[in-house]
Amino acid sequence: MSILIDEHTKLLIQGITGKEGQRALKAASNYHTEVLCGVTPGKGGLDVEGVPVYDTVAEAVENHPALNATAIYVPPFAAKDAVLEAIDSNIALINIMTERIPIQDTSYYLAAARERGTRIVGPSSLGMISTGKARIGVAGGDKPNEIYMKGNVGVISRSGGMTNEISWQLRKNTFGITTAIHIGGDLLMGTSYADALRLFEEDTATEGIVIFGEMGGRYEFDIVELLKQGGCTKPIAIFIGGKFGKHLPEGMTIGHAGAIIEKGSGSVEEKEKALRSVGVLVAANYEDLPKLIASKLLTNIIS
Amino acid sequence: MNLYEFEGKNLFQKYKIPVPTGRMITEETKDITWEQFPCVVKAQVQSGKRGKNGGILFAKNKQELEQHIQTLLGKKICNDEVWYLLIEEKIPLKQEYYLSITYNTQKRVPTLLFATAGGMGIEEENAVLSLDINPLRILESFRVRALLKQAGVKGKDLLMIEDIAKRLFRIFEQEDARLVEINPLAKTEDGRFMALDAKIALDEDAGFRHDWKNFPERTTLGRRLTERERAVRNIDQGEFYYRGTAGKYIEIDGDIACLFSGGGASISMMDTLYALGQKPSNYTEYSGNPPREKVQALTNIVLSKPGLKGIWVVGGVANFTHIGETMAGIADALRVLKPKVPIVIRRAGPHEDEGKKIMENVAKECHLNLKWFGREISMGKSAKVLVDMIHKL
Repeated sequence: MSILIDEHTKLLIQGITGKEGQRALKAASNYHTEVLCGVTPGKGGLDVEGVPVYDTVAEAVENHPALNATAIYVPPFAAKDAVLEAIDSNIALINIMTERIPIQDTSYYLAAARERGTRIVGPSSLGMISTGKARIGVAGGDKPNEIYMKGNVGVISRSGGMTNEISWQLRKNTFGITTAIHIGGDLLMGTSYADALRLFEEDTATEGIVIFGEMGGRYEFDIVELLKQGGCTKPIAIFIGGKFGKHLPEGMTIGHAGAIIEKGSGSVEEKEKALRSVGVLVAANYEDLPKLIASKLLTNIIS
Repeated sequence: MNLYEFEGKNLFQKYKIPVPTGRMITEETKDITWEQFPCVVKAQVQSGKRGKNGGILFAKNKQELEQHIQTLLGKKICNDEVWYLLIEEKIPLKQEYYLSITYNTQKRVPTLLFATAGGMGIEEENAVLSLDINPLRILESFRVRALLKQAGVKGKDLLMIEDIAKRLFRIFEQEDARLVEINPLAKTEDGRFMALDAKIALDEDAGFRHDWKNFPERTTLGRRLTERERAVRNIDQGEFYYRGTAGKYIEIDGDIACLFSGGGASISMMDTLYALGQKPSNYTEYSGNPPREKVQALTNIVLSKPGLKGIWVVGGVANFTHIGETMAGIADALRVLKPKVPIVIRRAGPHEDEGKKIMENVAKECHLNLKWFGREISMGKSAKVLVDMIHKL
């Protein structure tokens, strides 16, 4: 099994005529994922590598009712509208790859998605990969099989590059992966660690979860809350990067509002302490993640 | 981008939030024709603790004012260089409130915060009330009044603070702010409300729909940009600004030159280096498959720092970054500079064999003390190899 995407995923690519969109089309097609069509306003009627392009998402859905996921590769200024268009057409999963979307726009489309029960992953996501089944985005590059093997570990990462590196370290230590997901590094995101953990909890094939986290924000504290409520019972190992921040001159966090909402500074050390208190395994180096999760899993054989 | 108080107050005035009469002083415009006493002299720095650290001084007359300007201008307050001062009339006040709007990352919506005890030390206050704002709707006045009522605000004050809160939200939305804060929001002795301070952080990602070029230069990490930092900024400008990034660089007082790929890898490897007792000469990161020329330009600047004892090029197993192309950029720089210090590279991903060959060739050609690693060892392990090479010298 896997989370979010699998052999039934039928993909739309918004921004398919751009360079990134075309690369995503190739990456999906090379990894068992059917891209039914693309959307680029003004380029309806064209095709990219035989995949039809429509002007609107509504037309795409009308012609391809099987569509159940979309990847957003449009420029930042057009991203809010593209996401709202996908929400409006009832596409269940929206993976936003666009980087540098204004936070106000993200806040808006996330609220719209919540109202409709749409799942958003991103923004600034590199994508996700369900081993042997489907891929959105370019995780694993042109040789995904060198890194992603079927197995029993789920991967959640705030860094695109580290999604791949951590999956590789797992592979080296004979662990395979159910789904690896890059949730994106923005302040506001559609799917947080806790959201992804809830999904992995439901997935019978996933027996343990490995997380790459970063300094800043307070999403790690949501994991703590989730575990306190019993929302995830599977073993979790996490690495949080960014301790070096304390060696730099005092940062430019201004005002008090963030600290009031966050109730604490959100330093790496603070996060680690809170996570340990609920039984999460905390790695001092990212390389230690496979070893840590191994200590809690009965099997670590690549299936 | 974090705005100085005087810039924030300019925005407040644009949206008709009352602020005290004031005047900006810079190193260039030390000439003061200020006649209103008593007055307050405020260092324009980003820290929220400047009041406790001598950044706010009161003057009863012209002589004291001149003294204070001397004391503050060009000095460091809370580790931040003071380039600008704000002189303001001193406002006799009855009470201080706290009012702000920022994003609540848990609920992923803007949240309005209010407290009846503003001023210094607000973070420790427990009596801060919050109101989540649904981005799909307007900020309804009745909700703001309910919040104020709950905080104990009475009578006409309810309407006056509500008005300011709504103007503040307009700034938050229309100016694409990530934070707008008034602390303190003062009630004056004659019953008016006034913003005595302003903290605004603008969302740089929304820069395309604003004209923000006119803001003056500001400190980064409490200081001016170094020459190298300024030079690196230019790399991502010009025709191919959008093709990968190679323009992130912070100069640090250490001796290991670092060229990291990818945000997550870079912060993890900075941690690793410090944990090994080493100090980097810089933080830098290139990502998104930048062209050879950009990587070469970045490498030149990173290696221009004197006193280096090692060079570390490291990144994860790349998803789509062309290892051959990026290594060619680094090799171009090495071929010219021919550094004598140990060099360790750990890189894997698309076209890794090409990258390895390029590096082996340049090492041979220029007699470099260089070791190449692919995915067979981890990134952290390669740091240990470099440290060992340095110690063996």
